[in-house]
Amino acid sequence: MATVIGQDITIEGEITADEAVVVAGTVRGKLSVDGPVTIEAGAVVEADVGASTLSVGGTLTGNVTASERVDLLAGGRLVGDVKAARLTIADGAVFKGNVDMEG
Amino acid sequence: MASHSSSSNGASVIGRATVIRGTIRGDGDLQVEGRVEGVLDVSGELTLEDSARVRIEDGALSAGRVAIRGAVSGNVRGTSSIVLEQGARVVGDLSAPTIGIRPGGLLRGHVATGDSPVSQALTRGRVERTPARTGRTAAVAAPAPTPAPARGRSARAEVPAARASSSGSAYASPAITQRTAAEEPEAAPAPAPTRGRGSRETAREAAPPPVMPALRKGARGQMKRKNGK
Amino acid sequence: MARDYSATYATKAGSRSASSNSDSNVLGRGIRVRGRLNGASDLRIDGEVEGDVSVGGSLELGEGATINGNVAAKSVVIDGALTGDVQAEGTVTIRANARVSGNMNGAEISLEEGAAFTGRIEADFELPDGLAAGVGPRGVGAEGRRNARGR
Repeated sequence: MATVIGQDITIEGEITADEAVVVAGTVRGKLSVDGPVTIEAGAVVEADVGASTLSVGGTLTGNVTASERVDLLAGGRLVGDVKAARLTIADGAVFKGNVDMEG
Repeated sequence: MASHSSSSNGASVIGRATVIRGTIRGDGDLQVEGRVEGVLDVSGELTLEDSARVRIEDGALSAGRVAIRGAVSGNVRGTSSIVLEQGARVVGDLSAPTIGIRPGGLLRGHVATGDSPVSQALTRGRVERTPARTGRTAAVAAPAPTPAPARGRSARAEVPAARASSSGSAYASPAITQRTAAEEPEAAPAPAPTRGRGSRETAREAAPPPVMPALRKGARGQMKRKNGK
Repeated sequence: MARDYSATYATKAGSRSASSNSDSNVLGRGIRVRGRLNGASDLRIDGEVEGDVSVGGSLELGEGATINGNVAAKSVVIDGALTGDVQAEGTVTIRANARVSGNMNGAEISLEEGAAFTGRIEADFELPDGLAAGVGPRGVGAEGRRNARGR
């Protein structure tokens, strides 16, 4: 099971989940997930994100802490600091921020 | 389940291991299996599954159509309909044009069907008052607006019945019923029209009444009775 | 124009018109009762009642029928028009054609879509963990509400 925030939904506040979260819409606030987070192309997230893995195809503004990895996909945009053991930035992605991979 | 295609369809789900504190707004449908505290306002169909726990902290939960199988604390408004299914537990007021409560759906609160602005205003008034008062005070105060429209309605309700039987057709048609319900709040300030039933049959024969715009609705009925004598 | 009732019973309090031994009492379509209606068994009302109704069995208010008064029964089915409060030991069923204005008290209250209903429903239950806080007191005071509506 998972949480899916569709493209026509906007959430302002704090999201806490122990399951996968997919964002296709808009989230502002804080996203704390014990599981994978997917920010789809077209999605807008203005929040600090904690997750096991994070995949960014949309726009993310905020600091990221991932226990496993962060993947910034082509077309994705991330403005904020990243703390994660692994980080990939695809060709065509935009990234501005600091990276800490020492965990 | 969390495939990319499902999300781009606009199908939104708050999973059962998810807690959201804040405001959820949007168009389209939303299914809640988890916990939401704050504001919930969507224009499409909102389904609260049996595992859903929703606490509305300000105003009312609002959606086009609301189907509830879970637990809700707070007022619920449906621009189209509300249905409490088996397993629903709701503490709060319901307001929608159409409301259904299935066997096994539990409610503690006020219910107002119909979509007239007045009845919604009444419901909203309750919403604002309730937290400020103690339970008992709120409870006693709550029905205060009810008796007046109820009396007006009881008198009006006889008109469609009389019409239906005199024309040999079935009893009050849904259309008439709807209209009666919609007019109910208008009758609120009228003097109690249920008195003086002795000459009521006269009033009935005049059933499609001549409109006397200067008079309020209940007053019109009283006039007819006097004139009929 | 035909009358829709053939008799008018201006009964006073204590009328026993519904307390016969038969368990299928019907107050027919043409009948109008003014006063209190008490009975020990089941009762179906197709006419009009102006006053409180109290039966030991089930009460059914037929389509087109009217009660202006409070109702107490073991169970209640409403297909007609009721203005008044309902107190039932068991179920209260408000059917799609019904028009009801009053407060409902019963073990289980169901409302069919399409019914016109204004009033409170007081079911006795607990909200799950975390939701109940701050809303509990709203459940009390049903008696006060009923008294406030008394006629």
